[in-house]
Amino acid sequence: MKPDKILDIRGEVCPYTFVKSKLAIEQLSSGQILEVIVNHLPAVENVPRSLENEGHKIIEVKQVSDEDWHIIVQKA
Amino acid sequence: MIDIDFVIRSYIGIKYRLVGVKILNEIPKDLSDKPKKPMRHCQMVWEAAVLGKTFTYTLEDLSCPNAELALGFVEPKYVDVQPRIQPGNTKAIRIGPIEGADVILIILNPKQLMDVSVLLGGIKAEFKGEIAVCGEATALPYMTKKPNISLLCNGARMFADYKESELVLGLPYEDAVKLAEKISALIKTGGALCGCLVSDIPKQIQLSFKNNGFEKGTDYFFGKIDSYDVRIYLNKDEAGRLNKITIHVPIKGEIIVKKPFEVRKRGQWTDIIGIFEPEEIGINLNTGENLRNTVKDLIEKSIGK
Repeated sequence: MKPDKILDIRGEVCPYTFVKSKLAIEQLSSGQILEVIVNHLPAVENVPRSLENEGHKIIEVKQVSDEDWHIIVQKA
Repeated sequence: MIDIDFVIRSYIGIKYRLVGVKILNEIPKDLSDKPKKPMRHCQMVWEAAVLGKTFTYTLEDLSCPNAELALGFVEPKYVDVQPRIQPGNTKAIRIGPIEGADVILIILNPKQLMDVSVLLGGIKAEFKGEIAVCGEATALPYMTKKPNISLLCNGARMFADYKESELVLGLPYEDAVKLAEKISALIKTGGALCGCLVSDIPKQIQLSFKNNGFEKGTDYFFGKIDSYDVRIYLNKDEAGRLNKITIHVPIKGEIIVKKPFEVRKRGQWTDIIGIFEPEEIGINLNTGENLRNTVKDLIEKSIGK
């Protein structure tokens, strides 16, 4: 699934990871896909959960290297 | 029952209340003190410490996803995140009351933490600056049954009003009780940590001891009176006033002493310790008048010379 927007926030920590993810998804239209790249372990858990709580759909959370994770989310 | 909050705060000089955290595995019937809108765990701790509020909250009252994990409200789904309470059976958390709490949180500055650390015999701390008040200060002491220090996290400093100079110490409840008991014992027995560093004692009093042949230790004066090596501690009351004088004399071998002195055995030594109010025994701390003679008389009377 090709993302409509990629947000690379490696190096950011909470709560900036969630804040930046939220700002990014606000710029998309309903149904569009956001890919968030993080390397802050707590963000792997809390970004998907926070976005899910806001009604968006988590498509996939996957580890792509030793430190990096991709979170694929579809805007509600 | 020892008043943990009063004893620890008055001795260390901590301005905020100690905050109890109780992990509940059932939702209590009485949720009358739940937050009016979702808040962070660290915010509630801050308001409890500074404003004296109490909270009982459930998952829906919590606005921090890291705290949800760290405090055991949810289990991680994608990757393990530590520190956290596991297994995650938490249904509610009570913040504020000390009695019956699992963990006691203390907001303090580095100097105050240093004093607590000395009393606890050292603290092995583990912190990263994330998942802080909820994880490092609450979940870790809860799981390990050991104290831990948190330097807080961005969320705590952003959403609550912690000052840059403040950090949080998390103590298992039992450790907080032991700390308070230790402080009480030290105050009563005029132990080495009587709360009166010599350098903090007014210059005039330091001078009066010097004029009586006493040298300055870290928190006591020491000198010889006849053949006795005498240490004198000046005790503070809860308001910080110098109100008592503790005379401490180590004597080699077995010895019987009379009240009001007490005996503490230390290997081949017998420490005789007596606590007095200076006015009652006729000592003027500011002038040093009668100091040597009075102390000598008290020692000799107590050991029967």
